[in-house]
Amino acid sequence: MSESSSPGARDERRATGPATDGDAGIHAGAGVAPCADATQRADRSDDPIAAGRPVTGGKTAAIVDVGRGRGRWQRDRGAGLLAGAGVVLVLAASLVGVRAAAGTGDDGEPPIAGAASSAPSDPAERPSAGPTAVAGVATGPPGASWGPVSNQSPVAAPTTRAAAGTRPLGVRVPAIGVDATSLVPLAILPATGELAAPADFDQTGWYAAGPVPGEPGPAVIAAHVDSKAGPAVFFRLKELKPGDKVYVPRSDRVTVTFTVTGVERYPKNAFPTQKVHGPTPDRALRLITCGGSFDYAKRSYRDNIVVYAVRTG
Amino acid sequence: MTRSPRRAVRRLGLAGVAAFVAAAAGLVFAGSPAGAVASPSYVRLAHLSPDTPKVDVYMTSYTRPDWKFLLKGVGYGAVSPYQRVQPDRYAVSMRPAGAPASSPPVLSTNLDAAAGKAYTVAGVGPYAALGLTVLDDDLTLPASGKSRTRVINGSARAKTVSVTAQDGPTVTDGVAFGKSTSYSEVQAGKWTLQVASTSQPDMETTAAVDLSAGDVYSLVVLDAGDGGLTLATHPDAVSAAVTPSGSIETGGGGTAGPHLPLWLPVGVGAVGIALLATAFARSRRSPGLHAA
Repeated sequence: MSESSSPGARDERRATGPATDGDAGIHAGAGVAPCADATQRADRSDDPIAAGRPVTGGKTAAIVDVGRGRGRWQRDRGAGLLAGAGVVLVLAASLVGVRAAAGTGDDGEPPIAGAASSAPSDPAERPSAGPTAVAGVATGPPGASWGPVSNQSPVAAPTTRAAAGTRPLGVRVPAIGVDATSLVPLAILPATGELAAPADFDQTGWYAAGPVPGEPGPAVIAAHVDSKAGPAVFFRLKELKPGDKVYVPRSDRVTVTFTVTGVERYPKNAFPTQKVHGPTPDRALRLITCGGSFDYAKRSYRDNIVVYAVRTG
Repeated sequence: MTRSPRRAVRRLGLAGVAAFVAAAAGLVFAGSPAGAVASPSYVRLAHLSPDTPKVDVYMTSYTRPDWKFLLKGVGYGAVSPYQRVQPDRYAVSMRPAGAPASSPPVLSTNLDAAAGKAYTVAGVGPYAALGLTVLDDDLTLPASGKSRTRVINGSARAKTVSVTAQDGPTVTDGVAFGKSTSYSEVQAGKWTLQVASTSQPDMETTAAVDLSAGDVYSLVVLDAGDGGLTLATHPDAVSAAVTPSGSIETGGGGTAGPHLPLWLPVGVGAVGIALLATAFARSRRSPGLHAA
């Protein structure tokens, strides 16, 4: 397996910029996928703006307070500058948050399970020079044992798929405290072609006519973000970050490990079916719930949150 | 004292501005598009040259010197699992199996891997004229109830082959050794495929395939060890047989907060600005009051 996609490399990348990642993380959480208005406000209460601190520049306050002496003027100006800086920081951080979210799927691609066995990595054999490609042209002298051979038997295609009938038994996402010990099968609503949500707010479901989690293709596990009364199973789904682990125990006694590669929020009327449900070469998983603002007229959230993950073990 | 009411006005103004900025920030947050997850690229490697011995295949990045991917001992007919990589410019090189990494490669080629795309880099042709070719693999959804297939001919023996489904469509009426057809959609299901050399009437074989709806396949024709032909079926990409169309209703709204009309924060902000502007104008109109 490649060095750059090893877990160690990802940790190293994270460790190099803890301050930036921390700031971006907070605001990416608020900016990417607020599932409910209440959470959104709670997230922002840490910001100087939402906490009600003054956010004007120093000048206005200075004119009003000019009779109170220099000390107060400076204090007020200082507070104004602080607040102004806070605004700039918040805006900058929100931009960073968006950028960070935009880059989540890009770096540190997790290794694909199954490829490992056929992709041994030997540091001693790492090429010392950079790539020197000459397209389609033989560039080197053949080795001693290098020559044409006849009547080779072709290598058989590997069959590494799970037995038919294998099904997922639950889903565990430690980073957000999800530990569902059963999965109900979800079907497609004939009227709309959409996936039906679990009947109960405390249920977690999987699209049983789609790929089995851990097998090739994009498997789907979905749960509610909230009930009419309060948080439901996937309330904290939007908090997941690239690198977080998702575990799916299966009926074949294999517990499949997935690694999150990205989190996205889509308006329901512009849902990217190809990207979420389209064919994938790898063993993919999509965790889906609702997000965005709530349409009280339709009793429905306007967006879907989609977590992208790929099998890594 | 004139200061107290003035201070009160000022405080109201500041509160208004704070409310307005908070509302604006809320709009910024709420309105910011969900960060687009950059899609990875997928690359796999194939050895489709019947008389070429096993090779070690190296994949290196032009932009990241520390990154490499190595497949050892790739034999004829092998099609590797896909490697998930970040979009980049790569060099793919083949060396004789076991040859040192420092030795010159037998073959190499460049691959510009784009986000969301998949590629098969294949060693093709006879040993004497070995080449590396980059095939674009298709990850788009086939039409409902269909599979998408292409035929890659790795058989030197048959030269050009045709592939026809019994009681079904012609997949290809002729693809030359070392070449691939483009993709075409066929009805999903179990088919018996007849694979035949177009130049040698007695050289043919049949293969049973089970094509799932929503999946994409490469059908690879190979020289069999016993002198005939064989067909290997490799899934390029897999999806549900029936794809959900779009969104899912997964929320009751219990955490969505009180149902406030949209104009409320904007209105509060506007009032705040008006108050602030008033305070500002008054203080400018009577500058001597405090200076005295």
